[in-house]
Amino acid sequence: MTRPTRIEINCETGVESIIELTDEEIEQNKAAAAAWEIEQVARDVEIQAKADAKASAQAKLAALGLTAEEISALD
Amino acid sequence: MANTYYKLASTTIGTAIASVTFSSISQSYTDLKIVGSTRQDGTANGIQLSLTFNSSASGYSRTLVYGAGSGSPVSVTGNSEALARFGWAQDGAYTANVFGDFEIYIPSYSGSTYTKSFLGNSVTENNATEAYMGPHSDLWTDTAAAITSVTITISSGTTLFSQYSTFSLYGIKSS
Repeated sequence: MTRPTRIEINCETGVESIIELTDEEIEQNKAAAAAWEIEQVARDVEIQAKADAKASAQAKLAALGLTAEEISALD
Repeated sequence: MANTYYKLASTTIGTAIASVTFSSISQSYTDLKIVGSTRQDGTANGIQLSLTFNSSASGYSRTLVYGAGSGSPVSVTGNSEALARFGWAQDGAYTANVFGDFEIYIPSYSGSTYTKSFLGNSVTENNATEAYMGPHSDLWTDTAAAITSVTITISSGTTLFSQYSTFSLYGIKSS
């Protein structure tokens, strides 16, 4: 498999070089991607938990006799 | 751009690559600004961009607030990380031939008295519900060294910046 490359631009000379990534750089990128995935999952869990809590609260208010209009007025 | 902006370097990607490094950055300016237009060659959701200074792999902190097209905005933070994650490369599954954008401002990048920080914005563009956008602020506490090189990386082990992604570095005097 072809190793990923990077571009390095020397701002002093304007010379562009194409350089292969080191194993360490590849692993670092993978670790960052994995960390982001974990944050995404946590975000989705948080959003779902809020939605579930809201639905539960609305159901309880309806059981107390509030109309749908009255419940939505609380948003 | 204001006449205090000097283009130090710019590149348009010819073939897919993992990162872009601006090296040997002149210390003659007050601040730096980096502007980019990027797209990734994969279709993974919300692949992030990241940055390192002087090839250092430690001491980055970040705060990012973002929206993804649905749900409430979310904030994420991180400390003592190996790189500064700050935004997103345009998803390859998003609207064809459209690139996402980012800009980064690095104040007082020269000198060795203060630790370095940067702030900016990043957006992706999609003719659908999902698209990412958000402001960020980042800090590099590893050292107070002057910034002589900056590397922008796509944070994935396999996904690369697509052809025609562009990156430009500006020096700003007397800001």
